[in-house]
Amino acid sequence: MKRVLSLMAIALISTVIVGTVAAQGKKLTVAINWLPNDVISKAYEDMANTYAGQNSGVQLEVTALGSQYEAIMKTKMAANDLPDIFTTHGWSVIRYSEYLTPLNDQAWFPKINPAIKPVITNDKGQVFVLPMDTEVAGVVFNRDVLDLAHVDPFKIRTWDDFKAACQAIKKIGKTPVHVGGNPKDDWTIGNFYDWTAPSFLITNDKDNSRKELTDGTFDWQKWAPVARLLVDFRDIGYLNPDYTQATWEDVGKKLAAGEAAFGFFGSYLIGEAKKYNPAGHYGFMPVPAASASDSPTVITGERAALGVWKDSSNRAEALKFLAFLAQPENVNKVATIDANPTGLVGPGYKSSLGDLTPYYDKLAGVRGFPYFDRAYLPSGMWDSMCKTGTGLLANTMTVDQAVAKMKNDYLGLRGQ
Amino acid sequence: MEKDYAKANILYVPVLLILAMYVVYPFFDGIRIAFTNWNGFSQKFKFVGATNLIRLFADGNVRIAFVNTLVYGFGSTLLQQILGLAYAVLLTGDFRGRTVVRTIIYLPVLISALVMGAMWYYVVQYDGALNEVLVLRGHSKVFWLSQRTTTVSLLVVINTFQYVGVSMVIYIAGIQAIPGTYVEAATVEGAGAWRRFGKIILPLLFPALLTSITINLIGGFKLFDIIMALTAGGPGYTTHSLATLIYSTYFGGQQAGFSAAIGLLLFVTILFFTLVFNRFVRGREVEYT
Repeated sequence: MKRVLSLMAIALISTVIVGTVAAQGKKLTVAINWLPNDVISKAYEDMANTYAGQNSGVQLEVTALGSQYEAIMKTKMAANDLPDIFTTHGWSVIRYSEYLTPLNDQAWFPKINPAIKPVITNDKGQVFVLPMDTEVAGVVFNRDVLDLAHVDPFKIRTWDDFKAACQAIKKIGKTPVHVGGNPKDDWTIGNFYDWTAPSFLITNDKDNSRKELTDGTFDWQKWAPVARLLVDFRDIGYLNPDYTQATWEDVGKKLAAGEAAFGFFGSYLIGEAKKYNPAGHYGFMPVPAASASDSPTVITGERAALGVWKDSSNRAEALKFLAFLAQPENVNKVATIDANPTGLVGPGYKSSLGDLTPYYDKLAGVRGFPYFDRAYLPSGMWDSMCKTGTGLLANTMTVDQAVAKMKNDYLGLRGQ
Repeated sequence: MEKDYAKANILYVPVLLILAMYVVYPFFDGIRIAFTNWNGFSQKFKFVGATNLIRLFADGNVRIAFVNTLVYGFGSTLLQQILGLAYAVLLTGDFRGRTVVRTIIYLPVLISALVMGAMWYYVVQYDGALNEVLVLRGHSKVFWLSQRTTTVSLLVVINTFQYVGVSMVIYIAGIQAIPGTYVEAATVEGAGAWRRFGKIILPLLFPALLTSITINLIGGFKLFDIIMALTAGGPGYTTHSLATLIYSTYFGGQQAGFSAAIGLLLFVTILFFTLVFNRFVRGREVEYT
């Protein structure tokens, strides 16, 4: 009797569970790398709700994982249990492609902005993400501070010109370059190297290390000038006094307060500064070249891009949602929030760049290069750039030690 | 009777399963990973023999983290024994408010180490409370978290501040377990307070000392949360313990194989010092006769 009752109970519970799942329909999980309260996270939630409203029986769960995104995604990759759709924050090819569905057959594929297409294409010609926007980044500045110091940012062509501009800014009592060198916020220093390294190693068509970096024969002594640039800025007094303790937020605050002139970040720094001083005048200029024989450049890359997990049981539905996101109103919405050009181009695709439009126009003819670490270093080197950078800033590491650490990690990670 | 034992033994099964799942399996899997070049997330990896173990001896950052780990372990343990014992001796006396003082000293133990680290961060950061006091008194601001010696010392102090309550409680229990007749007899014989402490209380506290040192030593060697909250192991690699370096190498550096090798080093370090300490104290216990 007991056995019969047990079997009946199990059958009842199973029926309830199966019935509940069936009633809920398909549930798509979407993981994004922003903080829950970020404007862009709200935008994704709105788009998901709209899609769910148009497609009965489909539920979408958008999870904004913020600063823990990378660690959580790495754990999920190790377990081969990923969300149906997830953002790739610049790593769609090198890190995530093993887990993503190639999207070359999607209807929106031909519309991908040519400026970003090479960055998100692997050596077999496969693309794994829908790019919502195309990051075009340079050195962000506070226009009012530069005017006060009589510096024309678009006349700066080399690092020597940049240092002369810094000197003029320093003379008027402002901080020329604000960095967030806090070890807890060390991505800010990694970002500095992503901005500056290409000028020494990549951008000069006649003298560069593109091939050596990708085939593993790179002479790491050539990293020394890159590492030394930050140390030079520190030693000459071009950095904020709290250069080992400042955070990313501080950079935005000081730029907004007119206390600092330059920040080595994408145009999202302008959004951050506007939070504190919406009336400030901000812009961005190309990254200076290392020598007079080269010319200034901009950084291009993925920012908001989403892919579909290749083993997802909801792959077909996930691809439909991606097609929905690829519609002009959705692409335009995300690109406008990021203050970037759209990731898809064609009729109807246009983001509102607001007061940054003149700067984007000025950069139209400037050569663009991908994020240095994503294109030329093995995945995992980002951390080495961040850590050696804060070590150099705090003087707990010499340039030679930083070079040796970069070399060891590069060789170790290439072997993986 | 045997049947009863069998029934009782079944009760162990859930615990054994949990231990096997969360301790035994990860331990042996960690050893396996230490012999691979796994990046921590890919489904592909290769066995690389002892490469990661050999690298442990050549890597400068492992050396820094190892030395720091010893400083965190021994530094915190020493400070916690001195302060914990002093608090215990003072707070076994009979005075008003004794329980309140004990509670206040123990209170930091109840706070999450991450929260503790964050609280101290607001004290010692460049624009923190400590520098504000210095500026008020006409001094310049100091980078408390930028130099290895200062920051590592600070971390030892903060860890001690948080966990000294544990040592205090262990020693209070130990002191209260000492029969009052011994102390009374010594007093009658004319022994002063220091002599009573040195000749009666301290030797009889040996079991408590052993427990407290073992707990503090292992806790100090595994120091993680406070470092992450205060410095994340930086600037550079200067304040990493082996525990934080494992995390950083795995998730940041994407070198799970090497990270697992560092994990093995931490395990061997803790095992070695615990065994040495236990061997040292064995046979030195003092008993009531």
